[in-house]
Amino acid sequence: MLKSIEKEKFFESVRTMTIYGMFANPSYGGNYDEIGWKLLGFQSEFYFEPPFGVYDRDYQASQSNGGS
Amino acid sequence: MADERAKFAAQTDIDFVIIGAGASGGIIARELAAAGFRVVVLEQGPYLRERDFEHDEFKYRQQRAITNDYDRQPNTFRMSEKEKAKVQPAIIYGRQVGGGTVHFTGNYWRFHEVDFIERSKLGPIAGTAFDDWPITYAEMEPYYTKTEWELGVSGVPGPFDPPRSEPFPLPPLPIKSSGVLAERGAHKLGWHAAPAPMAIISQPYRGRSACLHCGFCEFFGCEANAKSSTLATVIQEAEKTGRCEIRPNSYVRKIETDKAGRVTGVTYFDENRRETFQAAKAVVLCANGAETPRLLLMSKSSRFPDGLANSSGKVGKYLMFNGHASATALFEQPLNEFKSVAVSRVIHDFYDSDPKRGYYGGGGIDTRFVSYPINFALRGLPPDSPRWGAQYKAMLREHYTRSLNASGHTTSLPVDTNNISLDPHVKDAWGLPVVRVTYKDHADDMKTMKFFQERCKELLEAAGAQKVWVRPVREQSFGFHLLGTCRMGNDPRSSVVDKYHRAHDVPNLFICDGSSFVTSGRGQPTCTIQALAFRASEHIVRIAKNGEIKSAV
Repeated sequence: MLKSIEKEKFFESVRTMTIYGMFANPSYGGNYDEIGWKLLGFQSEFYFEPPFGVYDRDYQASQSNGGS
Repeated sequence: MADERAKFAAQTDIDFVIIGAGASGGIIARELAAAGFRVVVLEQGPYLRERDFEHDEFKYRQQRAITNDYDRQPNTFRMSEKEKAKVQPAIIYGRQVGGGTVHFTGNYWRFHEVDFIERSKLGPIAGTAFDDWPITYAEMEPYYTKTEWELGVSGVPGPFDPPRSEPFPLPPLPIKSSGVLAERGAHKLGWHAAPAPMAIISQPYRGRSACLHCGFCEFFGCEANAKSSTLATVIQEAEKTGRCEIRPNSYVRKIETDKAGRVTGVTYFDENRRETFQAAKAVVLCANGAETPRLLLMSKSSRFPDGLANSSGKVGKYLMFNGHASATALFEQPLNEFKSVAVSRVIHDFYDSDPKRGYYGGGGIDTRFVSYPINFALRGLPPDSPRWGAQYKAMLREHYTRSLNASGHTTSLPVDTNNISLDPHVKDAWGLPVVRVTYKDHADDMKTMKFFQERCKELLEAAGAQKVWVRPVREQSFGFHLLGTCRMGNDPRSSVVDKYHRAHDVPNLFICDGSSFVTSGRGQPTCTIQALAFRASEHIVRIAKNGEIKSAV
């Protein structure tokens, strides 16, 4: 049933609104307990420390070992 | 503590009115106030501070809290003058004190020597006003240094950088996974990835604390005050002089002139939509590359029937957006690109135009994260992915922390038929004619974007991506960078301002913002807009102190 309407404007609006509800700040009433952000692996924090990801972690390790 | 900020009564004799408290207006405000002049800065948007900003994608992107609001200020767009323009968002700019420097990404590239003399190097290009600037890199260098030090920029010189008289004031921000992968890909291809120069402070600087790597840079105001916006820096200093009033929610509708053809002041709508006149000895117009020509065109009079400062007919002409092209990739391990500043490495191996390619164009490449959650969920997955259902959800989970964009930022030519004009039919919420954009990328600009998209793909593949995808390069109908519409030049017949930013036609009107650009540079204009602003300030002060700006009041 959804397949038959997925190209329609109405479906597009519903999809967009659902995404807002799922991924906007919980203060708007959706994304309960940051469930949308947890799905993505996103965190809304005020402070992060490097390394941020796996590749920069390994890079820092290789630099401190005297690598290039 | 007593509030030392100036608030001038309506009858006070003001030296300068500055229109727009953005990238250039904020700097000129401080420089003129510090030199002893009384300054009023009229800003159409609100005066927000770091405490007002939030981590809220919906508010700043979907609801456009700090950019122009298309409901109240629509634009119209068409690709050629033969078409009737349609109402659609075509430009974006910062609409609060600090302007675009509040929400910009912070990429802060100097122009290279070649950017100022490219016409001499390469010759003319048909259908365009491709030209040299009336100033050179050597003349601009002290002002590039000044803007980096006065505002706070982090970086180290890259292998293709132009000469500099001083190092960067702050060391580069930490490398991210995107930067490591840029280095890896570049190394394999024989290119060079260098630490990105960013207008975000990596260490405490002049009373501001260092970046906390929260990741809310592009489209957001910085809550830590680590982004070196004019709001966080020069505007606060301008107010501390006691001679500068920042007047927010003040929407200028006309620059007024007298019979002698001199500017007398400006008429604006205050926050209660009351029309108010502010007199001044001189006006400095810093409203951005779309609003600046619009205001000049709206300021026509019997003496200036085609708009103010427009005897050349060049007001609004030669609009340039810069070209943009990208490729996106999925990597094996998490990158977590949502953390920290957007960009940590840039690649300038294709900066110069190469005649061997058979067309004009050049640019730079950076690697950066794809998007915040809402926009990622809307359009962050590869174009062939499911758009709903269990598989869509699984793909969001797989892709978000492991996706990466390589972005090419490229030249736009000053095409004869691209421009900003007043829409004859559509009015804004104040009853003023709206910005009409007429824009079609030059064929060389399209080829350059496609060339850069190919390089972006190569880079991501060489970096070891599991999958790389692109969306086709299309002609642009939307501008983030608004450049070239009141170009600078020595000849009053072919330019709007002289090399000191003084309008050729009006001795007490100065214009300094992206509109002053003769050519587009390579996609990161803010550093040059701000260096121009420091340079213009020096000349405005000189001209004023010479007694060349007599009171018209």
